[in-house]
Amino acid sequence: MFSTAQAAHFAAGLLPFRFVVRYTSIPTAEPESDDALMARFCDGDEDAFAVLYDRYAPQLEAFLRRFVRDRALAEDLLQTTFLSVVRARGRYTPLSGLRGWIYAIAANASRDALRRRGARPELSFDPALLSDLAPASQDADPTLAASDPNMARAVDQALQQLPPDQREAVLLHKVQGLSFPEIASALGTTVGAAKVRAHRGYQRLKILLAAWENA
Amino acid sequence: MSDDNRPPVPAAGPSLHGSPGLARARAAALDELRRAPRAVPWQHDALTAVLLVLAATAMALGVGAWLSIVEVHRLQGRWLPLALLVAVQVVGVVAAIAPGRRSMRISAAALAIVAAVSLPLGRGAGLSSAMPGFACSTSHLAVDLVPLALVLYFVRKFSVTTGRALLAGVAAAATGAMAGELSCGRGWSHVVIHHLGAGLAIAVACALLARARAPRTYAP
Repeated sequence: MFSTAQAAHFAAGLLPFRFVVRYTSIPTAEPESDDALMARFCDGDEDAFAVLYDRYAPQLEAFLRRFVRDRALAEDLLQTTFLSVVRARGRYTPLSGLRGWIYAIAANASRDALRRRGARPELSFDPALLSDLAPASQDADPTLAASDPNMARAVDQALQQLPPDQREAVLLHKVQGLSFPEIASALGTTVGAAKVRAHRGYQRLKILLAAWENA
Repeated sequence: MSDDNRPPVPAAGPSLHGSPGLARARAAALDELRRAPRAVPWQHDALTAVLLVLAATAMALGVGAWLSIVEVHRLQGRWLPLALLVAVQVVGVVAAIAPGRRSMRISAAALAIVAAVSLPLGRGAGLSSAMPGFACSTSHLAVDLVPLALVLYFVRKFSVTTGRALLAGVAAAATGAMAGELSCGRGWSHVVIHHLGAGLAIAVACALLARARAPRTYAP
């Protein structure tokens, strides 16, 4: 009896490459790179898109929820973001990095939605949105923030008081874990400018949280 | 191989079960992918836009020549600003559409400034005319409408920045500037106020219109 890997190896010698890739699951040590998946996705490969979607959609949804603070709007924006990814995939260039490119689309869609609403994100408190906001404060003790709803609320409210460009940079860097080149790509700016935005955001957060701690 | 023979795309992975929003977005994106399986590269859009804008310019100048408004003999004395204006159209449209490429946009803006400066410099005192100055501005704006609509169509395919929209507007305004070079013999101050002023108005209108409605995609 052949194992799946042996069958796949046998098929690889006989069948077209794309057929083998599509219908067999050859176990590989490394997951397929973003650019390889993107190349297949640009050719219309739905499986490649599904892998990219599963790789990025959950974290993107979390980012959108934190950024717009409205669950329904975040879901709409997630759909808008991935429709844009599909429609505009011909504009992707490997230089920008896929993660930065997708976040750029999400950030553009969010900014536009908020601008058309004519409002900044509301300051209403939603504990469900705060589960992993604690690391946003550099000096705060994450375990304390995670266990202390007051601390989480303070971090959240401090974040909401940041100017949108600084809030974006802080969220992308500290919460989403993007590198500065990826943040620069997402915000359509230079790496230096992205660092300055994040630094100013952290400075301001520090002051706001210090005031909260003293209160 | 036909796509109909392919197995269905697997449902959302275990990490996605918790959110109906994720499943809905995935289904919508897959529907869109099935509608247009092949990506259209941005170079295709840029080339199409350049060719359409150049064709619109040629048509505007052709109609002007047919109506005896455009005087073809002026080509001889004004080939340099005209060549610069053609370059502004080509580079401006490509720079407005191309993703990334900040240096290309800076080069396109510099080229537009050089072309704008060359227009009044080539005029001197100029000829007098009984026509009011605003006739040139109005004609300039009218001639620019088709190229403006074309560039707006292309820049609204992505999340256009103000800088990119201004560049696209300048490329559209170059059509009117070419018509002005071939139809108007007045002096430099007239060119600055009524030709360059109209061109600036078109560029600003392009920036405002491009951002007035939601773009078709939010890609950078």
